[in-house]
Amino acid sequence: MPPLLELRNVKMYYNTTRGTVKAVDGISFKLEKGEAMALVGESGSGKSSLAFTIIRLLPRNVAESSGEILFYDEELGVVDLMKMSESEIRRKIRWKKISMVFQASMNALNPILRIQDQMIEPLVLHLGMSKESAVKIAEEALRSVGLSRDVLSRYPFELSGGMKQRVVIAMAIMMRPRLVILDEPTSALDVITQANIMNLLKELKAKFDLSYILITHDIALASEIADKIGVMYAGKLVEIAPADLFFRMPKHPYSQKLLAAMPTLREDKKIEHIPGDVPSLINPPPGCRFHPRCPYAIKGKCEKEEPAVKDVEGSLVACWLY
Amino acid sequence: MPLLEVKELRTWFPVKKGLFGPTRYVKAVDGVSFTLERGEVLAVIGESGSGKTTLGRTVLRLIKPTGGKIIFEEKDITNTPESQLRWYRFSTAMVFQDPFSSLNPYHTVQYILEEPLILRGVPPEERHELVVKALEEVRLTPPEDFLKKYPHMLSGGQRQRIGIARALITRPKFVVADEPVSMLDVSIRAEMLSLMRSLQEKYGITMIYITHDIATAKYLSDKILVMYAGKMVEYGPFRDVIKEPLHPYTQALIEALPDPDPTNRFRIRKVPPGEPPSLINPPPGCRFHPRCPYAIKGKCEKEEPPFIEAKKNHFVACWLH
Repeated sequence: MPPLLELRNVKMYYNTTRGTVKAVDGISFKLEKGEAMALVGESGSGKSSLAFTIIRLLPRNVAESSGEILFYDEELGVVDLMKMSESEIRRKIRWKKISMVFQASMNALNPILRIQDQMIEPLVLHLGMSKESAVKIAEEALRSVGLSRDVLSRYPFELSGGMKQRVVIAMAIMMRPRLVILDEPTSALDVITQANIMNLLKELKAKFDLSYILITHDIALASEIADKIGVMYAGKLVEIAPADLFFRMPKHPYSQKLLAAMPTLREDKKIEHIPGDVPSLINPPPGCRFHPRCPYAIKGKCEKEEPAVKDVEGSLVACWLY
Repeated sequence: MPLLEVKELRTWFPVKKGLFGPTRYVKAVDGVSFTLERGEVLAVIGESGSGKTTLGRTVLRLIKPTGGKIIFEEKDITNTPESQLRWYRFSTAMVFQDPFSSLNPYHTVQYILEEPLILRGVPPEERHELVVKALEEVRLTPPEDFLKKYPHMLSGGQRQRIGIARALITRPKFVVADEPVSMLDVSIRAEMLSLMRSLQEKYGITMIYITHDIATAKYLSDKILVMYAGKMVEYGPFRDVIKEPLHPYTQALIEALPDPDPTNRFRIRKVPPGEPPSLINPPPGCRFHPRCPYAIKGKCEKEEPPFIEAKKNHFVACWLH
């Protein structure tokens, strides 16, 4: 059986007045059915852009979007999302097969509409369902995220942050998609609410056999759900590794630095920091993009040639050290 | 003799329903007490709406307290009028949460750092030297590259460094830092905290670090005060509280926090459901009882637990102890 999702050399550039931003620059990976992958990286590494590219919500100033995004589904067979038209994506893919929980989306709920009206709108307007069956689906979705049906008649301001986030997750799983993209799903929430939402995501994954792509800058949060970790740096994936391997033995110097910089409560370690800033995506450094900040950079090599992706003991790494 | 003593501090905000309706109060801070010795750092931990920011602002006298006492260097400043507070303003400073909105976009880095010095009447020649030194201290080097820049030309981490430099440039005795790293990437949080710690130690600054994240507090704090719905629920030396949290709420805060570990994905965290209550109408008795897994029926929902010293220097407000 083919993987649920496979990206092959996916690129997405967009134009600004200062030049072309290479936000996603040649990304390839596979995601199996029922698997959760975390995309981690600092702000400006292109991880949200990658999510928008997968679900085909491109900015208006897009300069290039290329590569293959192969999605497999029993109903559709293998389709290349890159080649599908917007209306096809809207009819067949978005929300039905692949849905997304956007960053800070709990604050994007329309304040003057009752939850019921916002939840059933896409079902009634885009899928032509009757109001009664749409309400039933919305009710069912709310139940699976642990909310009672009377939330339907409430307005967003009557709900707490955690409840709003649950509503947004309910909307994402309402149509029983195969893949849910979670873009910083807990970034505006308190720690205990965050833990409750992560518990919910774990339960939903097991119950509906969902696959996730979790986008976050918090590696500890990634370890809450990810079977696989992808580390993004300046528009590129520098390491993809199974979670068990990644947290024990990160291979790429950037992955090692990210883990070492992570504040931990239980473990006593000396905190390290990564000197320098994430490079501009308009003019990224030549060769390996991490070389100006890398403590192991090999002179005459790393700043000249771009490292290829290699399989190192089960992890895929793009680094000249291996 | 402690630098700062806060006793039974209360900050209530009145809310009126209608023109003739009864006045009710949002009890944002309700009976908080602590002491800070010179050079000590106290972490104030709590979720949003727990009153931790209001506590910080009240202690700085940016908000007038409703009751209780604030004693700074043996002077009672609880109700001192603003006109007589200038000396207190000059000995204190604040680092704000949002580095994007706490710096004036029309001012250069140089002016942002100079302004507090101008207010204190520092002569121009000295000012420039102090600004350059302050930039070096927060590791924005070479300083000349940053003097003429505007905030929008800096990254979030660089802006927060300016925020720290601005707070410390006048060598305050006491600083309140309100979630100074929560808007930054995890990867730069740790460095920012160790930077703050080293400057705090170097100048012997007394500090309150307000945060919802216990993991970051670890790198900065000597003491910890946990707040829930306006009340303090636990207070003690940082190490002791983290090693053996006595209040079920503190236990939940620690349990909720993941450390990077791939086995996390196979377990469901034992955290209480629900969210903190409204401060207008908090639950009777112990405010945590509706969410508490150990609530004692007939007790916790009726009587408010007293604040007791359960272990040496380690205080808790819970009927279990």
